[in-house]
Amino acid sequence: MSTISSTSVMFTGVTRRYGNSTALDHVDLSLQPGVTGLLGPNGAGKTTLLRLLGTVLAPTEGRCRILGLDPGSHEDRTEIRRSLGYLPQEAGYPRGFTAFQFVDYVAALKEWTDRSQRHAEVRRVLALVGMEELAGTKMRRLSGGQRRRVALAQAFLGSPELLVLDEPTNGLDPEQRASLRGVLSDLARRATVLLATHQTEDVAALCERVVVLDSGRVRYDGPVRELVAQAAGRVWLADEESPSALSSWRVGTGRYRHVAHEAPLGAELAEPTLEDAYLLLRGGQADDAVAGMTA
Amino acid sequence: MNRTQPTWHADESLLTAYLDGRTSAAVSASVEQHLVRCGQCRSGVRQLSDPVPFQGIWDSIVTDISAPAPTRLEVFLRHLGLADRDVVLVRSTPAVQGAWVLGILLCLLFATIAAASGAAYGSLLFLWTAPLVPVLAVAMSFGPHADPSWELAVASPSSPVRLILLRSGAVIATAVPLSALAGAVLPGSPWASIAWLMPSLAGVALTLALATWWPVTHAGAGVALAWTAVSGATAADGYRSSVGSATVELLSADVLPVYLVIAVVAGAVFAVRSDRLSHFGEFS
Ligand SMILES: Nc1ncnc2c1ncn2[C@@H]1O[C@H](COP(=O)(O)OP(=O)(O)O)[C@@H](O)[C@H]1O
Ligand SMILES: [Mg+2]
Ligand SMILES: [Zn+2]
Repeated sequence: MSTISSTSVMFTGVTRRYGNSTALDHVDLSLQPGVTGLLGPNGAGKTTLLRLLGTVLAPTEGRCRILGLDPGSHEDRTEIRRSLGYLPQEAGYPRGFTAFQFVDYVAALKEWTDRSQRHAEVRRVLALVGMEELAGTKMRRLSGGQRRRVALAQAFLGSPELLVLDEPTNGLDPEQRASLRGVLSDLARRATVLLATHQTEDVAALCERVVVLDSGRVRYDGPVRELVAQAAGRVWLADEESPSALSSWRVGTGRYRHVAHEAPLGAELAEPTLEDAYLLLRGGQADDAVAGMTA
Repeated sequence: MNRTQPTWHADESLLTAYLDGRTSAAVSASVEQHLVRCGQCRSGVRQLSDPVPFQGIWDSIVTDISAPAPTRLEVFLRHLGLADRDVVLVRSTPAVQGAWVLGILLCLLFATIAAASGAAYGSLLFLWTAPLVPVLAVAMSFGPHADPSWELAVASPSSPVRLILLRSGAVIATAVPLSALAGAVLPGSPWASIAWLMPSLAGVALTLALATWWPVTHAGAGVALAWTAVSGATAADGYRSSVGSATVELLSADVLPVYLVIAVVAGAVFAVRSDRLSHFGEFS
């Protein structure tokens, strides 16, 4: 489907260690324009992978190509950074700054030298995330969700070719998530977007493709609907709990939803969701983690 | 997203008068304020006016209203001839805000108390603290520990070295005149109130060089400890012979070239190794 020339990111056998612990273990990843979700539990290595993509971290082993350039070379790295929008997991702000000053500062870092052009661009991205009216408010006086939106706004500066977003939906309410979806699908017409999350709802709502990462390894990489389809025939609704299921939980109607390889007693098949498929996928590899999630 | 709903709307005649420039300055201002908030009236204006010039007017209104007034610091930096973009970068220096200003005030306080308590003791205390002020300030001006948005700075195409030098420059430009002022308050030789600049320069350069291996906060702390050890040992020597000679020894003509050599070598090391600062993880 996608040709080599439209590939904007190509990671081959990428490993990253912190001392003795391995955060990424021989990861192969290629990205094309469009929105890709990076899904995985806490500690899976998502932030590490995104830091490699954001060129702020170097791999221990393996080969990285980003936008056809080598992030290991100083000149190429600068060139990549010119086309990059990056939202770190923890995007702090200089003390005492307003929303406007913060985005203006990042715009200055991104080489917007002309003052009035820079200010117009800052306004534009603040409006994209619905924060134009709070532009003059100090960052520390904004709510968590509002701060997250301002941090997102800086990633949109200059409509970058590559957008790397670490947990962009943290602190956003459903309405704000919906409006983020609009912005991302607009940008993704020409840009490559990778967003990390530990929530399946984000991936279901925002992404066409999903990469599932667990313990530093890629467990699934493909279209979201194909991952969902893997759970067909494995999701059941029943009146009783089932001890044999990989995971079971009570749903709003008072019945139990089971993800299981075999039909529990008196159960009927249900339409699978991404969450079911994700539980099934992780159930095969990490039973204890799944048990934790169904508690 | 979270829009506050305006309580009134501009009718067509008001908007027409506004667009034709027939409204008073006060009325124009309040129409503009309203237009910024109200999409409904904005589309009204768009229909009433020629769309092309309107966009330009609209952009300039929005830019004027949203751009925060430059602070006194920014105005001053622009007077010094700094480019607008660099002014914005300098303004983000963590050490120029809060804790740093407190540090300078403490230093001044120290020096004044010391000056009041007797010449020899006072100059010693001053000699110990004055070079540390710029060193610690530089250590607090960049890196993941001091700057909560450092990861963003690293991911940007601007050279981190440029940012570091701009910020260090800002810090030194604030620290040096204030410390010199404190030095002038002290009794004793006026030479000492200038000569301490040499060890500060060496200390700052050493801190920057060491920051290419370790987090800059550790580097700054290391340099501060080393300076404390050197000045402490010299002071102990001084007490054995004659009180106060430590000042003279640390700033004597024989010793000053040593600081210069340290500064030059450390500066060269920083220049060669500065590429390492363009990564984040290695230093977090
Ligand atoms: N700077 C670091 N130093 C040491 N270990 C780290 C560092 N960053 C992450 N790790 C470890 O690497 C693993 C992956 O972490 P991370 O990439 O943050 O995962 P995620 O974002 O999916 O939660 C975790 O075990 C974490 O403890
Ligand atoms: Mg993370
Ligand atoms: Zn209105």
